[in-house]
Order: sequence, then structure tokens, then C-alpha cells
Amino acid sequence: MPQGKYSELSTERVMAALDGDREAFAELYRCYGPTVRSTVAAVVRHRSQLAVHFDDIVAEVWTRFVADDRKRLRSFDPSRGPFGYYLRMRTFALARMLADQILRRSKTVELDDPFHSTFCSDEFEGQMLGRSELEALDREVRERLSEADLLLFDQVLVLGRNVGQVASELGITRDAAYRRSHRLKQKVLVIAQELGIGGPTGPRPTAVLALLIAFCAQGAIETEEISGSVSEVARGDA
Amino acid sequence: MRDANTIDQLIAHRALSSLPAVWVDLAHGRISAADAAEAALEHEPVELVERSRALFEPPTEAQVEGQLDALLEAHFPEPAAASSRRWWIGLASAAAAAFLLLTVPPLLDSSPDDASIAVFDAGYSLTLHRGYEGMRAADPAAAGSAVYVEGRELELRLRPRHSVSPEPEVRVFATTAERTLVLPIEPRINEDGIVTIVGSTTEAGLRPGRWQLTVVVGAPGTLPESLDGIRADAGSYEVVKAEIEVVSPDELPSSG
Repeated sequence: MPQGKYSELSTERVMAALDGDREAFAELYRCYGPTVRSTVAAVVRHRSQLAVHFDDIVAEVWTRFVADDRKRLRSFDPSRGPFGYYLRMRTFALARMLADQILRRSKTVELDDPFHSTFCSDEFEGQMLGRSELEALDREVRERLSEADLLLFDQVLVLGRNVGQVASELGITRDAAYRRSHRLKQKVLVIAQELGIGGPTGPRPTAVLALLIAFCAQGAIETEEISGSVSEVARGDA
Repeated sequence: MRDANTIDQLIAHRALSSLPAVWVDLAHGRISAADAAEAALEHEPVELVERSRALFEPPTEAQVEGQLDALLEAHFPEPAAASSRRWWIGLASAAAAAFLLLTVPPLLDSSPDDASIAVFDAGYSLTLHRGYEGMRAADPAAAGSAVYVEGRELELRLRPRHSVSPEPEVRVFATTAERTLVLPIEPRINEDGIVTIVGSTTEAGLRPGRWQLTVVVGAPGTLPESLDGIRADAGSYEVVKAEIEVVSPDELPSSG
């Protein structure tokens, strides 16, 4: 049943749809169709060359979801939250992977584009993290990353904008932006491990210590890498 | 690989939670493309707005049904059609139905609604949280009015008199003299049926002004789709109301 921004179907109907009930699946499709489309749109809207592939990606996402007896959606666990959130997360990962495959078909593939190093798989391996865990990690990341790091994180990794464009808006070289966005992931991992989020067995003291040392050392170097004017970065795509 | 997975999940979570609400509203057909574009232009460059407008525009109903039919056709085979060898199954079913109609009339006296919808009596009460402390009424729950700053978080908590099972469904309508919104909420409901709704006033579409919140909580599948659909005599859900005021940050006192 609709519940505001994102409609939700009852858990019983969702489970029936995943079990192959034709009518329940029709309900699920009508209920979550806009959710899947808007999630795919969120993935492609910052890359102008992907816009023409939008409908193909939406169709492919649904096809993969229902293929093999809905295998890809069977990790849904109702006790961990609503289906809508789970579906949006799964759609985002799958759409990003499909978008990456399309970008790789072009004549010139920018291998230093971080778009290609995230979402290499359409599966979130193991159990998907809980929403509250991700919210806690997001809060901590926002608290602890520098303004410049946050901009790179949001513009390049989250929005999926081209690293070269963001670099030029920041007034740094493409190379520097790439290196920095790569190191950002390590910083985020340090924070995640400190919070005990992700990783197979929780925080690993040795690894955390090593990463912390690297984090601090890099922080000292990077403060001079980007000089002011970070607030001028426009949210858009050339 | 699991480390990469954590980052990917954070990226997905962040990307989805930061997607401007106007585009989600457009995708769900709640606002027009023109209105969405106009609102988005305040924060996004023209080119991105134009592209987003085309991407988030909902497909026609015929397109939706066509795509659904294709998926059903390919992945959800229809139950085998009655073959000439199985005609007797239909006949036997019809005979059984006729027999039941004649012999078990009491079971058919009540309507399906009466049979499937139990009376919902949880005694929910509503409290408002995260309002602007300095301007909030002394007792928000009792006064029913709270002040929220535009762009900041709003939290509603619904607490039942006793534990509720199965998990209830919740819908929140917000009204001013000019308009009614169905708030974009994703309620968290714990095992006792306590409902927590957290979201920013901006994402909810609550612009500065006074809003009446009408919260409907009840048995899944029974809630009204619109404010006009609320029936005083409905036994399957409860209605609680509160009034809030959303103020622009510019309207706040400069200190304390």
C-alpha cells in the first residue's frame, strides 16, 4: 500500500511475488515500478551519455530481478526493514553495474574513472547492512572527512560524476582527484571498521592501526592539495 | 571484497537519500514535470534539470502494462489452461461450490470486509520531536503545536496503549488552507508497534507555514488513500492529529 514517498506492498504479497505468484508480482511491479525507475534515473542522470540508455537499463534491471526464479531478490529479509528500501539499494547496485558496462563499450574508456571501480558486481555480497548502520556510518563520514574530501566523495563516488570534470571545478589535476578519491575509500573503511561495520569479523586491530597511520599521514599532505574554492563546485554534468 | 561492499552500500545509501524529493515526486506522478523542474532549478543547473525531467517523467499506463505483460509472459507462466482431459475438474468445482451455497449459508452472510478486517483498537497517541526547542510550546504533545525549521528534521512518534500485532500501516497527510500532501514517510515500526517517522521538512514537502498533520494508523491494506477517504466509523484504523508550524531559518531569532 502506498506510504508516501515510496509505496510499500504488504510483506505477504511481496513474499508471494518472490515465490512466483503471478498476480502478486503484477502488484509488486505496479507498486515499485516508479521506485525502480527513479533509482535508475538517479544513477544515470549525472552522465549525459547514459541518458539514452535509461529505458534499456530499467528493463534489464527488472529482467535480472525476475530471472532464475527471482534469485536476485531472495536475500530480502522482512525483519531487516521494508522491501522498498532493499529494492532501491539492489536496483542502485545493479543499475550502476549496467551503466558501467555501457560506458566501457565506448571507444575511449577512462580507466582512472572511479565509476569503473565501484559496483563491479550487481550483488551486495553477504548480508546487506542495515539501514541504521549505513545511516550511522554516513553521519560519521560526514563528521570526519574534510570538506574537500566530502565534495569528492559526493560528486565522484556518490553522484557518479566524471572525475575529470570535478577535478577541473576543484582546480586540481585529474590525477590528483583520482588518487584522492581512491584514498577516500580507505578513510571510509577505517571509519567503518572503527564502528564495527562491514568486514568479516569486526574490527581488526592491526589493520585498523595501519590504516589509521596511513590516514593521518595522508591528511597532513592533502590539506595543501586542494586550495580553497571547494564550495564553487557545481552539481552538474558538462 | 566485503570492504568494497561496505563502501558500495554506503554510496548507494547516500545517493538515494540525497536524491532531491521533487524528482521522486515526479517519478511517482505526484507533481507535474513543470513544477518539478521549476523547484529543481533552485538547486541544480539547467542542463541537469532538463535531463532529469525527461528521466523521471513517469511512463504512460499503457507502457507500464506493456512492460509488465512482457515480464509476466517470459517469467511467470500462466497456470496450464484447462485441457479437454481436465474439463471435469471445473465441473466438479462448480458442483462443490453449489453444494456449499446450499448447505453452509451462515458462512456467506457476512461480507468479505466484515470477515477479513478486525477492529483496530490500539489507542495510539502522537508526540512530536526534534522541533525548534526555543520556540516549541511548553508541552508539545498536549498543545498539539510545534515549530520546525525548514530543512531540519521532523520526528513523529506514535505509541500504542498496548503491543500491536501484526505490524500496522501508517499514512500521514499534511494540510494547509490551500493544499494537502501525503507525506513521503518511511516509518520504522518496532515489535511493540511503536512507530517512529523521521524526515526533513524539505523532503516531506513542508514549506514554511502552519500545517495540520493527520496521521492514520491501522490494519495493513485498510488505510484511506486520501484525506477525504477517512471515515469516522471505520474500525480498521485510528486517526490522530497535530498542528505544526514550519519556519524559514531566516525567521529565527538571531540568538538563543
